[in-house]
Amino acid sequence: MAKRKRAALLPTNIALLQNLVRRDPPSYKEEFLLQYQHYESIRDIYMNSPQTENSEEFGDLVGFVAQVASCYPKETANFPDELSKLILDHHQHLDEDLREKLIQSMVLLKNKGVITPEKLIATLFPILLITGSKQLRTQIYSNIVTIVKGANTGSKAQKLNKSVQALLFNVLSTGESSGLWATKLTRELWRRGIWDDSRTVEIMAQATLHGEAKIAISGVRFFLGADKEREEANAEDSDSDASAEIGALKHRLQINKNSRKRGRKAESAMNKLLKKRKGNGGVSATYLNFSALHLLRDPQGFADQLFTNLCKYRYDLEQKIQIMNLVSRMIGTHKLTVLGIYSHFLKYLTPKQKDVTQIMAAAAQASHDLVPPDAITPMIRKIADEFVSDGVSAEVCSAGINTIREILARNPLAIEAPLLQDLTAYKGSKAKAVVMAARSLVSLYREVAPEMLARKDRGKEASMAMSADAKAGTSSRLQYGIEKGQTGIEGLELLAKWKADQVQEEDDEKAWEVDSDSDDDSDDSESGWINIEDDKEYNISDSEDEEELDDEAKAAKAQAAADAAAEAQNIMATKILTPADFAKLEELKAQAGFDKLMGKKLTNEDEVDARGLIGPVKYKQLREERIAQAQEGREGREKFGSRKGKRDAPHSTTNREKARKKNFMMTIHKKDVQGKAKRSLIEKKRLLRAHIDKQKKKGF
Amino acid sequence: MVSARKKKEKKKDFQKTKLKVGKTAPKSNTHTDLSFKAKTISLPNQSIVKGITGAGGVPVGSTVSPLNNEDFKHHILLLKHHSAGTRKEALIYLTNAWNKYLASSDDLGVNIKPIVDAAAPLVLDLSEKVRAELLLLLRALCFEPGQVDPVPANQLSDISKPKFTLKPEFYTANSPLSLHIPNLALYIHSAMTHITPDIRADSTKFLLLMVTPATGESHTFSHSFDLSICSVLQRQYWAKTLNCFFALFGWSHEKTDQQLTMSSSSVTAGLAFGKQAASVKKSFLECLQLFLRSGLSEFGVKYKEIKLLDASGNDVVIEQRQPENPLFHPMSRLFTQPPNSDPFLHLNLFKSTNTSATTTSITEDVEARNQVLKTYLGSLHHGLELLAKEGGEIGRLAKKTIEVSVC
Repeated sequence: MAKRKRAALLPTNIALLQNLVRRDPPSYKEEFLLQYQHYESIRDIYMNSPQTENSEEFGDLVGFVAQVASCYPKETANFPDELSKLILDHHQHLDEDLREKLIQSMVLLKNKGVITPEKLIATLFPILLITGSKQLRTQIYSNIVTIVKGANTGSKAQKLNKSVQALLFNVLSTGESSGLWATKLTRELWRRGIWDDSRTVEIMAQATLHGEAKIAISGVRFFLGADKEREEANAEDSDSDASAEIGALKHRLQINKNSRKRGRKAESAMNKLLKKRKGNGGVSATYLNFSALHLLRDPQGFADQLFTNLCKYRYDLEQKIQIMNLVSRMIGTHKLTVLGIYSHFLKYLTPKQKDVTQIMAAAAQASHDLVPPDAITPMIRKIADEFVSDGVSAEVCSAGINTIREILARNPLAIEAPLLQDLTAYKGSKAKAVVMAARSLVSLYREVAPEMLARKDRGKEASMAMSADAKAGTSSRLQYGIEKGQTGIEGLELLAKWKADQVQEEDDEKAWEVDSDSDDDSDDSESGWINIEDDKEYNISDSEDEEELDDEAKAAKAQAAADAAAEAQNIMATKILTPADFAKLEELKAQAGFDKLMGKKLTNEDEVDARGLIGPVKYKQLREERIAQAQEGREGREKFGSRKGKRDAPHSTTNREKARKKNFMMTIHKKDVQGKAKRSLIEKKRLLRAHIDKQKKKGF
Repeated sequence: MVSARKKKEKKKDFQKTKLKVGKTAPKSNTHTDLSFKAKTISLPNQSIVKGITGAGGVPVGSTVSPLNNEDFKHHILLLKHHSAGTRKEALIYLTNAWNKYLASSDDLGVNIKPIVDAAAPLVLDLSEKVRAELLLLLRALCFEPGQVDPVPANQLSDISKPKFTLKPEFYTANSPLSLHIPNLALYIHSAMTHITPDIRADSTKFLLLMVTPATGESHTFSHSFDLSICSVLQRQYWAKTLNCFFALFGWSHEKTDQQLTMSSSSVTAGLAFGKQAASVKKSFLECLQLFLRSGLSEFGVKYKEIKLLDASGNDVVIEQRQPENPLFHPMSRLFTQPPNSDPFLHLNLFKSTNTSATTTSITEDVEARNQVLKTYLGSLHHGLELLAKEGGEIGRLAKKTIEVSVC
């Protein structure tokens, strides 16, 4: 009877049927077919007129069929095709909820392995490009990201990646504004570290050269900021989950009753966690974290084309600045030659130009030592003329000098000595920022080309080096196109010295060891006699000579230090340095304050910070800013002041509080309140007696 | 004395804002942002449509016909109302309006698409009364303008009772409804495969409207432009309707010896057993029989008359026209120009490639239908024989249906 009841209920109760079908597909085939026929007839209605109402029933049916499709592969062979056709053809007219349901069902089918991820993406991606519904777009977008992510866990799914990337290339090559989705998707996948190969970068390069400003800028942003984004995302991932999970696990173990099952569960969870960490470590070992800029296949061509686009298309200023920034980054990183850009900068370099600091930063990035100085000199002239004079404000002046310094640090030959000396003269300015900028320029040239500075600016070391050069007849004067090159490993003499010390220490230690063989030897060889041959001179040492020997050792030590450079050369010639050696080298360099002495080494890949160019200019703060700053210092500390009347932990009222609240009339007649003054004579006497008695009892 | 604060505020107005290098100048106090974003800008005052319809919504320069006024349109909208009562009322209104229109005017070429499109989903309506009214409306729509309904209105009142079946003797070949069969058929098929037993039970009533053979004067032997409802259905939905009958009876396509499963038979007849189930099953069988007959008979060639058992047990005789000039060889049709408007429809030359989604196989003539039926015949007979074993009225009907299907 119960069975019949359930059977009667089945056709309308899809959820129950789904459960039963999953457990035993063959027995419930009839019921499934009943539903499937129903689905088919409704599907035909929707194919014919997609705007039909009451889509809820259809959505439920589709969900049901999708759930059990893997149980009846023969009957539902066409089901995925039908779904994709329905949504591809009619996504504009279908009900929102139904659309969502259809996509969910398709994703479910993919998860169950009924359709391949490629097919699913081939269905969803075209819709993403053309649909006008925001909701649908976000759903499809997030789904595509999840699909690609899911396929790439463990090992990379090259086939899927290639097909999706081909789709994106196609979208970008059509020249429509829908290409924005390609950039968005690529950027997201790059950020998550799912795509990190040069094909991905090529997609973005193509987007950057796109005619549509929006797409181009999206590509530019990718190159400028995607790597930072990726690093941030990685950092977030690694530190967030692990510790929290372990903490929760331990907490649960403490609170719940211990049982074997629970113990096993905890153990397996712990193992999983450890494995995951290990897995992460494994990934990071092989994970080549190349930045997008380095993965470009043809940087010179790309930069040339981008610069042409910058001149050709209409962009607004903000976009122009971003493109300039990217081109200059490219030029700096790869040491490219795009000569046109330096004259292009010229027209923007005036103090009244909006966002001029960013343009100046770009100008600095664009220069490197392989650019002909003639190309950069006009730029420096212009900056010097426009920014550096007595008539402008201090911050403008300092921004100008700082920019010039940044440019010259990369290409020191791009300035003539007279102009340089004019600029260094600003070290006598009244404004602190300007003084600092000028001084930094001086210190830069002391290092690279002291002969261009005025005599008094050269400093002691540089002058000495110059005179030494003059004596020797050599010249360390800079010349364009001649690279100094790396001649050795920096700080290697430190390592050499350290090694020598180590060896000596070891020797000392050995000297303390008792040589067990020596006794036997002496016994064996001619019973303790020493052979002395007559034609040899023997150096018989006495105490004085020993002192001499010590002196000699000291001298040798001193000489070793002096000859460290030679030793370093020796090490380079004879030894292969191990990673441990390099680690030690770093440590020794840090100890010796090597980096500090040399200043932070500038490389051509460094970014120039536009905010840093202005220098430390201090504006008077507004009231709000002052308050905010004061508040910042108070963060995380308790307010000063009395703690009176403030409870730390919740508790009931104390006696003291009760007494305080007591009605005044009830206490007025108490002796404590009335005080000593009102006591009667007898009272006083009694109290005194009592006191004396008490004292006596105590033994006073 | 002016307060210090006010003084300060006043002073602020005349202060020069300090410019900073590399930053945008702050906007002035009086700056107003006038930009806005909009995907479309509509100017209803300048609409072109307004010129055609007058101020009251009444079209200028045309008489107000019962099918072309605001009230009528409103009632079409009411077909989607959530309350069953309102839907029913709307259907009654539409039926009356249509009847009035039939009586009043000759053919004005009214487009009944909006009515059919709105009414067709009601085949699946959960309320029985609504379905009954819908049946009346569709029946009314079957008539050509100028034709008079042979059944008086007072006799139609018992249409909602399950015993009632529509007598099919009066339909014409050029029914205005025949153009909308594809849409309607979808819903009828859906009703036939529906999960709710009541809707299933009523589905054949709608189908019965469709399968009644045409008996109009314009019907000729050569079928030149046979647009009767029946022929449209037989041509395009033969296989699909057959499929739906299988679902309706709960038969499986594979010939298996096992009995019907509990659930499918329970859906088939609301309750698997009992009086009501029997009557529903009978109506199904009648419909199947008529469907097969009308589909398998070349009109006027094979059958002189189609006999059908009425609900009351009397034989309903449908006269079929004899061919007036039987000069053709029966096979000559194969070698002449095809008479149909779209003879190669089944090749699917001009549609999208992915038609597997909508299983429409085109069966233009009796031979084609016979071909299709052959694939179903085994399981169909199996199912019918099971019914024949039940005996009684149903048994007799089943046996007769087997006869129809083999000839």
